[in-house]
Parts: sequence; C-alpha cells; structure tokens
Amino acid sequence: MTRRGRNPDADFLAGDPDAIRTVEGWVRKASGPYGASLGPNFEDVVQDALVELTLDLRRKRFRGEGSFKGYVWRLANHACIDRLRRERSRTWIDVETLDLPASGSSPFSLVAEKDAVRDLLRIFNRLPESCRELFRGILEGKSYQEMSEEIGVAAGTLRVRVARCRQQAVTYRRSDGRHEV
Amino acid sequence: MKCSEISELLPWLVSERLTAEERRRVERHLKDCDRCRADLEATVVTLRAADAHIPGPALVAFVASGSWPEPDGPVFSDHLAHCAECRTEADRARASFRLLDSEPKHPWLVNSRWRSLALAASIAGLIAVSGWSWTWWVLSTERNSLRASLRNLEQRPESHPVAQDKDLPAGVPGGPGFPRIDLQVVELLPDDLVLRGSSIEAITAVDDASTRATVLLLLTNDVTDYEDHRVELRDSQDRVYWQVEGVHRQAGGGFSLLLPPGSLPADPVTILLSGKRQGRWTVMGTYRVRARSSLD
Repeated sequence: MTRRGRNPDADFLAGDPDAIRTVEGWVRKASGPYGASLGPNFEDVVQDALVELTLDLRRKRFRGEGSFKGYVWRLANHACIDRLRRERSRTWIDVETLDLPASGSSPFSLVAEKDAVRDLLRIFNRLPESCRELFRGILEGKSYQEMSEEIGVAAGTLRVRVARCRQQAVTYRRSDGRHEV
Repeated sequence: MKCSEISELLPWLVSERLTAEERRRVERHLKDCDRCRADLEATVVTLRAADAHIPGPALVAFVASGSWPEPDGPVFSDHLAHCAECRTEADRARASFRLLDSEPKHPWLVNSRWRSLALAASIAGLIAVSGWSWTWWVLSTERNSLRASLRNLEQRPESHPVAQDKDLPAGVPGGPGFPRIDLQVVELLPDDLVLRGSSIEAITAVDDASTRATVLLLLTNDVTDYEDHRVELRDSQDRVYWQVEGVHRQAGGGFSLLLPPGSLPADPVTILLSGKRQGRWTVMGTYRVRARSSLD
C-alpha cells in the first residue's frame, strides 16, 4: 500500500477513489479544448484515455521520468487527436481486391511499411502547393468541376494537373531510393 | 474506355467513390494496361501522402516540449507549415497545455478534503493571531498604565511638599537610617495565555521577594463588568493562605496587587483572580509565581 498522495500513479492503479477522481479531472481538463470538436464523443474519449492510462501503468510505460500529471496530460491529448482523426478517416480501396495481374514487387507496399507515414509526409512536402491543394480537394470528395470553381482553374487543366502531380509523387518516392517500382 | 478517361477516375477508384459499374469498367481496363496500372500506383501513393499527418504522439510531444523527435523534425515541421488540420490540432494541444501550466503547483490544493483542511487551518490561524494581538495590546496598555501609576507614586505633588531626606529625623520612613523599600513590578499572564514551549515561562520568577515589595500586575482577557473582584493566593497544596476583595481594575484593564516583602513563600504560588456577578464568583485568570532569592 502506498502512502496516499506520494505516488499518484500507484494510487490510481490501486483504485484509490481520490486518486481516480483527481486523474479523471486532469483528463477532462486536458481534453477541454477538444470538446467542441468531439461533441457527444467527449465522454467516450475521457473513458478511452483512462483505460489507456490504466494499461500503460500496468505495462510500466510510465517510468517516473517527468511528472505523472504531465504524462496524463499528454495521453489525454493523444486520445483526443486520435479520436478526431478516426472521425474523419477516409476509406481506401484494398488494391489487393482489384482483379489485376500480379507483378514482381507490389507497388503498393509503401503504404504498408512502418515508416510509411514519414515517407508519405516527405513526398507530400515536396509537392508544390497546387498539387497539395488539388489532392486535398479530391480527398474531401470534390469533383473536378467543384474544384475548378473553387480554385478558379478550368476542370480540364485540373485533370492534367492531377496526372502531373501523381507522376511527381512517384518520382520523389523513387528518388528517396527506398522503393523500386 | 480510353486511358485518359481511366486516369481521371483513378482517384475516385482509390477513395472508393465509384459506382459498382464504373469500378468494373476501370478494373477491366487496368487488367490490360500497364501504363494505367502505373498511374494507379501513383494515385495510391499521392492520395495516401495527401492524407498523411504528423503522428499524434509526435505532435503532442512537440507542443509540450517545443522540439520534434529526431530525425523526423524537418519533415514534420514542413508538414505543419502547410497542413491546416495538423495546425488546428497543434493549437488545441497548446490550449490544453496552457491549462496544465495554470494548474496549482501543489496537487493537494486540488483535493477538496485538503482544501477544507487548509480553510480550517487558516481560520484557526486567524483566531490565534487575533488572540495574540489582543494579548500584546493588553500587555502594552497595562505596562504603560502601571508605569504611569508608578511615576505618580514617585512624584511629589507641589501641594504636598515633602522634606528632603536629609531634613527628616532619623527613624522616620524616608529619613536617614530608615531602610528604603525596594519595589519591583512583575507582569503576569494568565495560564491560558501562556504558550507552551514559548519563551514565556509558565511560572514567573519574582526576584528577592523576601526583601523586596512586589507589585504584581495581573493581565486578563476577561473584560466582563463584574461587581467586585477578588484575589486569592494559594500554596502548593492549593490552600488559600491570603485573599483580598474589593480589588479594582486599572485603567488599562489589568489588576495590580502590592505584596509586602516576605509574603511570597519559596514554593510556587498560584494566584486566582475572580470576578463577582449576581452573587457568583467566576475565575478570570490563574497565575503562577515563585519567589527567587539572589542566591538561587
């Protein structure tokens, strides 16, 4: 049994009501700025964060470096951002389900590797802003016509631009030297 | 379908926005067209890149610490510059950590039980400080009042001129050869005002009470308007060996008691000051003194 108050992480894990109440208060306060965006999911996120914290403590992921409160704060922020991203996540076709002839190395392996996020970010960073704007519009489900009206560029020009941007992305990926098509 | 038409549909194939029929037509073309399959790959890469964001933990760590994890710092920093979604998340995280910075530094202040204890301790402290302040004021006032009284005793009023010592015949009080009365003034605090462990002693030592007359100034917090006052001296067996009624309160609120030499025994003496109201005596203060000779 820990001396109450000295080891808040141990008290929380031991189920001390004061510790649980205090930590939950921290999670709620840390998540406050995300409240408007999370809407009715706010309470779910708070509970998710508390569950995540419990699992982390059991796995001894909090090693006492830095304050426990700061750890809880960061975890609550992770949970909120994670939930917001899940809410707006887009579905992608599983290209393996396409009836296509097999090729030597899968050209789609890039998105399956663990370093994919960093590589994708690097690729996208290198694209010109016009390409980024165009593909963000596509991600949002806008048609060429809609984007044409927004951007002020003819739809036909946008179609050509899509093809060019695609090619540039592949070029940047190849120039990284990590993946061969 | 022509390659140009297929190429236009690829982004919507990848993001699953085509109808079943459109998807079948595109798949049929892709089976036989290497170039369009290459375009499909490029489309997948580009759309996934467009949908990639800074990992949540890295973004939060950046907001909390101000630095990116190595070696991804430049990539993440560039992305943050042009990604409105990541910037919005970073702004929210900053707002969250500003709340952390504004949190009280001592967690026990957050606990309601500790807040109640802190409030109770504050009130108790305030009462204690008020009591000590009152005592200090009583002490000061009594001290000043007694000094004024002593000065009056020492001063000879002009209407009653007194001969100089050398003019008095021998054997007359004040005259040559007559022993001078040695007087001391001692202020006494009641027991309930003596702080245990403080520099104020529980038993006040009175010097040379066998040879000196002693004025004891009894200080008290009891300001009740009594009909009469009484002072009792009790020995170590709690027996009253001397008492006087009709004692009057001084201007400052205390009571003075003149004890002739030798009236304080060697053992500690308890002095009780009582007030009379509606026929009943109420103890106003209890004091303890001990005579101490110069040989002690």
